[in-house]
Amino acid sequence: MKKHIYIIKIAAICVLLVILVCLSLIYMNSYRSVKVVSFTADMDRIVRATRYKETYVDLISDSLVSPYFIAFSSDEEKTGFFGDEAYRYYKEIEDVVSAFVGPDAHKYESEEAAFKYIASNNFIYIRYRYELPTSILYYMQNPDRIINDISDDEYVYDMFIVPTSTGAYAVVRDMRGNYSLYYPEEEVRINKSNYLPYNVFDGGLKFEFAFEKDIDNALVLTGFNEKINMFELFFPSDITVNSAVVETGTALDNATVGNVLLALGLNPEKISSHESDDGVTYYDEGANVRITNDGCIAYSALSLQYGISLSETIGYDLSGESYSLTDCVGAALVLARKIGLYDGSDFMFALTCAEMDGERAVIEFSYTYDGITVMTDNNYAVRIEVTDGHIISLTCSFAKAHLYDGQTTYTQNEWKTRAAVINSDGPIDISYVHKIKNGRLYLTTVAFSKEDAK
Amino acid sequence: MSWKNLTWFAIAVLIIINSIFAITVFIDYRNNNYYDASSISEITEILSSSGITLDSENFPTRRVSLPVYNLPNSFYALGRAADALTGEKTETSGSAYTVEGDSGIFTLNGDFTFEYVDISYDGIGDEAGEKVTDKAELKQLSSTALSFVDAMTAAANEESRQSAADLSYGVDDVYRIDDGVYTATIYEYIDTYKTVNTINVVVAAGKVVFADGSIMFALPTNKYSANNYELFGILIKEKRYFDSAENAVPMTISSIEYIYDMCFDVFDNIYLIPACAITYTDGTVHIYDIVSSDLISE
Repeated sequence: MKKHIYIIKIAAICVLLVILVCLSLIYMNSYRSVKVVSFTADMDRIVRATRYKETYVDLISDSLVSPYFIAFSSDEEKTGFFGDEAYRYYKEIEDVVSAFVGPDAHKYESEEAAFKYIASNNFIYIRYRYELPTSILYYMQNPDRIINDISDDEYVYDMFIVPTSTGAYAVVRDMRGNYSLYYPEEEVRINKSNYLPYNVFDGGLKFEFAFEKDIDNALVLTGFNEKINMFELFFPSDITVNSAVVETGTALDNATVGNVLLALGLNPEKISSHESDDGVTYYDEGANVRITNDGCIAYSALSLQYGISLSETIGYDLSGESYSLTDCVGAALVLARKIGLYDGSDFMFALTCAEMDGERAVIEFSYTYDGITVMTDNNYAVRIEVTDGHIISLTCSFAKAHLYDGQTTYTQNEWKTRAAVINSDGPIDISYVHKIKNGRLYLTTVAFSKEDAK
Repeated sequence: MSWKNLTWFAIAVLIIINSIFAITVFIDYRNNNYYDASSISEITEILSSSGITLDSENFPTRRVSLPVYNLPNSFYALGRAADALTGEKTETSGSAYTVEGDSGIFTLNGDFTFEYVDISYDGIGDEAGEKVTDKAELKQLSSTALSFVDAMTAAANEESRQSAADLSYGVDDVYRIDDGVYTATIYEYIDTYKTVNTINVVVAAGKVVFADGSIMFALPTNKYSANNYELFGILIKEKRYFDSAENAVPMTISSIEYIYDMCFDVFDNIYLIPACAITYTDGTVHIYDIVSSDLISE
């Protein structure tokens, strides 16, 4: 019996010692194993960044980057939409667009491949008002994800989203005619049957791309092939849009002028001014503001130190950090709000330029009515230039749409497009915009190149 | 060899293996949880080359791995705090959220700092007062100040279904301004680490009549593991900061402390994120987020 107890004791000790060895091994191994973290540095930065960007996050919406035109194509036909209708359909596929322009998308630069891929007639076509960086498109659609990182921005002027049996890809083109293929990080699915033209609806516009058009000799002689890109849009039928009564070119009252000066960091009580026939120029140390009798404002700072601090405008100290293009867009929106450009009008804002070259950035917003760009005297609603973290130039013009004034029909647009081609000297893009005439909006054709007006 | 000897031999081998493992585990533990003296000496030398003096006694030798805490939808908690203090009457919103009741006014500012003014409070002037050192008096003041914090947080904490950490509060820097009138500072702690939140209070006639500052208002409900930057990495960033600063003068670090920074996202969710506060003898404090390693306050 004693021997049995002895053997049991020894066995128990051995088992315990072996367990101890195993536990030691597990414990030691746990030090070497990779720790799974649920809160990463990126998440940390997003939490902090979105908070400070709160000053302008509220002002951001996807309508700022709403497309100029959106179309749906199948083997049978193509149907497209302008203005607010384009925005309405854009919202339905916004998540898909975000997947292509987001930070995780994969991009391949290959013109040959891009052409091959858009040979398909089944696609969704999106054209923006002007080329915009992918990060701006993404963040305007996802303001809660704004962080300070600047991704490798590529510019997007138009985009073909092609559904496939396994997902979708996008062919993206900038204004210089460079093509890229984009694939999302995670597969996106588009229900093709939802986006075939016969499902999408009444009232769409039939259109042709330039490369599909029968070109007559007269058109060839205008230099059509050299001046127009192959995806320029041609509308054989008339275009009907909403119009409005517009107030523009009126002098600003004293309260508004005071508000403008305060927004630009100047003291209306102490500033010197010089009056001339067409307006008043206000002078402060190192900065001046010209306010014309027709409601145009031009601010410029003589040097960086006198410019408007980007940090102060967006309410966050950027010292020691690089600012992003999104910060500049936000600053332009904050200033536009302070100046009062939003107040009491049916006009909306659309981003028509967001470019950054090193420490210099240019941001432009245009007014839109019913989703269609409105050309004012300046061509834009507000434009800022940022250099080294300071806004050194701001120009803007007051224009207000007061009430709906029926519809206008734009006729013979193909001949007007021909005229635009004949009158241009070099490669151009064609766009339909509202111009203001006799206090009312009229649709018109404009031809522009990347170097001039949007 | 007999069976008996074989058994003892096996036990001896196992004991030796276990001893080796125990020593290895201990060394691993030391290496993973503490900085060794030679490393500390190296970092102090590196810092001194940039004019930063760090006494090795001020270097926290224990490595930390601190989690991130979160309290979603914090606004309900703030509302409860305001109601508890004021007696809940009218609410206004705009740039600040204000609750006005029979007993006082509670204002929550846009940056989530708050102010409470009791109906009986009419200011205390600018005098600094005399520091209170009497233990009984301090105990009485602490009790009054902490019961104020309890009143603010009790309602929200009762509603909280789960808490991921305990919050505690300590009272310090108590000054006597007048007979029965005191000022004090309340510090907030989470799991023994100080947070950036402090409340300045004025106590008169045995109750808090004025308070301003920031506080968690309710217990955090979520806890996330996070990679913490090594203190060495943070100090190297501090050195680079000094190297790039114009007209930097030699400075001496008086303390290095791990704290929790409180921040909010756009949805008003509160996050408590571990940070490292480097304090200099001239009062300068640089705070680094130790999850992202970013300098968040200088």
